[in-house]
Amino acid sequence: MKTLIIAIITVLFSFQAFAGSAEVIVKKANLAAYYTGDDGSAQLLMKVYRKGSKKPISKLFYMLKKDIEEGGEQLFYTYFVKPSDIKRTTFLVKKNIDSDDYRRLYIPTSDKILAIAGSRKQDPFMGSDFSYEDVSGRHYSKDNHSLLEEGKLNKRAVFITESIPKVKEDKIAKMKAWIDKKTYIPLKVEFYNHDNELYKVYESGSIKTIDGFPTIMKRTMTSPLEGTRTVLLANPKKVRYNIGLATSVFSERSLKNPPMKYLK
Amino acid sequence: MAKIQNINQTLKKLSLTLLLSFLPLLFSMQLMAQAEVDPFSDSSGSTEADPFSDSSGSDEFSDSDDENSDAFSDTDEDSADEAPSLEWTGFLEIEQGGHIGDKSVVDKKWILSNRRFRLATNPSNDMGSAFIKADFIEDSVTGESKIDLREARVVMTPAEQIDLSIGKQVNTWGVADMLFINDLFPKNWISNFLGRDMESMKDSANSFRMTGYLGEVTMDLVYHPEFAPDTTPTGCRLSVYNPNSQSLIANESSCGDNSNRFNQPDSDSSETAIRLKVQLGSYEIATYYYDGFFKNPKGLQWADSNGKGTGETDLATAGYTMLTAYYPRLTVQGASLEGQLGPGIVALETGLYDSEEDKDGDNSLIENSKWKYLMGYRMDLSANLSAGLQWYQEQMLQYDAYEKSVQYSDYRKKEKHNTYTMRLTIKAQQETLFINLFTYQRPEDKDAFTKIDVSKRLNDNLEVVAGANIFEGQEHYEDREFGMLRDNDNVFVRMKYNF
Repeated sequence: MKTLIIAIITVLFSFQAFAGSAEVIVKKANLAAYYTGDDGSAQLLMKVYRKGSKKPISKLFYMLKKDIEEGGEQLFYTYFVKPSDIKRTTFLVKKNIDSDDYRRLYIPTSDKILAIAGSRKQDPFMGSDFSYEDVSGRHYSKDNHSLLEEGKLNKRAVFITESIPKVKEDKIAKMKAWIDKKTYIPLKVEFYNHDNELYKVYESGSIKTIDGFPTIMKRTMTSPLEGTRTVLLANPKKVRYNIGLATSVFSERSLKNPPMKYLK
Repeated sequence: MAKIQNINQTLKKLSLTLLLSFLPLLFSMQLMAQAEVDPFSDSSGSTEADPFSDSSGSDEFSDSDDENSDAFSDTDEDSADEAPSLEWTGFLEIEQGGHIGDKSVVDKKWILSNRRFRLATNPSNDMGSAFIKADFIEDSVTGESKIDLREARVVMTPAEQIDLSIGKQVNTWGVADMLFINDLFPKNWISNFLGRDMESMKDSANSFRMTGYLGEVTMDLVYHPEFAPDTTPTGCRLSVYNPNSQSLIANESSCGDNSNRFNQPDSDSSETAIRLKVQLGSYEIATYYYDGFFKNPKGLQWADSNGKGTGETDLATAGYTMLTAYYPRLTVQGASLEGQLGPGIVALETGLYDSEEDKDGDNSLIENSKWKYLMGYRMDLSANLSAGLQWYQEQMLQYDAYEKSVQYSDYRKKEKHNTYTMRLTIKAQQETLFINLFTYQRPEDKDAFTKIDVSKRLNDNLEVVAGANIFEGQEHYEDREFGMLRDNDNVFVRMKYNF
């Protein structure tokens, strides 16, 4: 334990030495938003607001994650609770950094495991304004980063960074992020397309410290061009970190026979 | 006068159905209203506030104002572990479908007219869990009202590496889309031809399933104590080919229970299916074995004067005048591969169908052995459009013997039969609107089947679907799977309320 603390402190200090470097800021933001804890579970409610509609379409699900490598490969397991017609539907993702993700969807009503191509990381996640990448995290190594300025957002001191994909993407031409100086949590991200139009805006709505980790409890993604919006909420009573999820939890077996002890 | 009485009766029946349907619906709405208060507060004002108000008092998500919120409150969480409450889900579904186009020999206004109410629950404890799905069905086409146990099984983990699932259940494997080589679990083709939802494509059956997990290797054994054939058209809703008259016929008497319509295997009618699957990187490679019967009545035998099968399958036998269909013995060995290749998913599957009762292929009354293989590729063309193509071929084995056994060359099937399929799926309006097109084209059988549907999700509970099923077939090819349905084009609507 002692060694671990020393290691963490060392790592933190070495980061401190590079503070100001845009790459390091974005990397830390990436870790703060997507790599909290070594593993974790959360109950999430996703509300998709269609154009001109005040009543959202909702999905309630559990998400389990495990970091294989801090800032690198990750495993995700999603278990749907509502709506009832997709209850017990499960989704397994092995997030790879340099190659396509491995994705398998299990449809319990017909007992079918469906292979899903993992190449299109910017396609909508379950019809929401979030992309697969927005949910699982876009890796910082995919973009060139620069620090535009240091400023304030909602009275919080922030770094304002700009990131441009190294390899041309279909949609994303540029991202501008407001990253909290204290926690490195991205408070706001603007996504610009190749016509330099703002097509998506991400906002962290509420942050709560759970098990010692600052956790984003509410994520909102708005698509101004489409007139749609998605809100992703975490149930504060059902967010847990470092619960000792084994790699075997993220397997085909769990698709068919969900690990219920982690899903309540 | 009789007509009026009839209408009266229908109305009475209808109102009773509606009442029965809506009572549980109201009940469930009540339940939902109670569960409405949840800790996921999403009041629009909260975004403006400082997101870091982590002073414990001003927690945005606290549900302290809601004492009754049983679902997520801390205090109840512990006790919930001890006494889990039974949660019920389900749906109410209304389906209506009828013939269009050329007049079918099945002369009915509606060929699909269902009211279906489902209750499902999933109790569990440390020992394992149970899955129960019961459908209460009122079917105006057959005039039946019945309870169908769609699922009734228990799942246990008797050893660390083994899962058991025992009872009435649906099993699926194989990598093809709407084509089945190694998946010899019961399918419901009537549902497919009438545009019912994907779930109903698979019938459930009593079985014992054991799955063993050993690292990257998974082994499945599925045992059906009793033969579970596919559900195929009977002449009640869709026309069928009658080999005796060599024509398409309707059969009103088949509208009742026809679980024993064809001659079922008598004594040991069990089926065994095994799969061994290995995960190799992002690919899944599997081998399969099946021991049982053709899932469709691919054999003919002589019938006695009551129309019952005699077991006699020699065409030269004297003294009989009528043939009847039955399910000959079958064993299958196969393999498959599935995984990502380029931007999409590639699927390969093959199976060797061994016709155990016609090993030499010289009996024209029983289907010959066949080698079946399939190649498929599917990919997303854009965020809203995905496409899938499959090529599937069946090659008859011992074709020479078959050629000799079928006297009239007009009725002879070709050695190789191809099937091409295409699927197009359009997603729109944040995946609340789906347009699906799936087509089978079979040049050697001169038939085709195309289904298209549009489904719209109106809110968290309500979904409406409309679609059409279009068949093509040629004269003299009426014995073919889709050809026999050529005058059965139909359209349907479906409304489903999930709770």
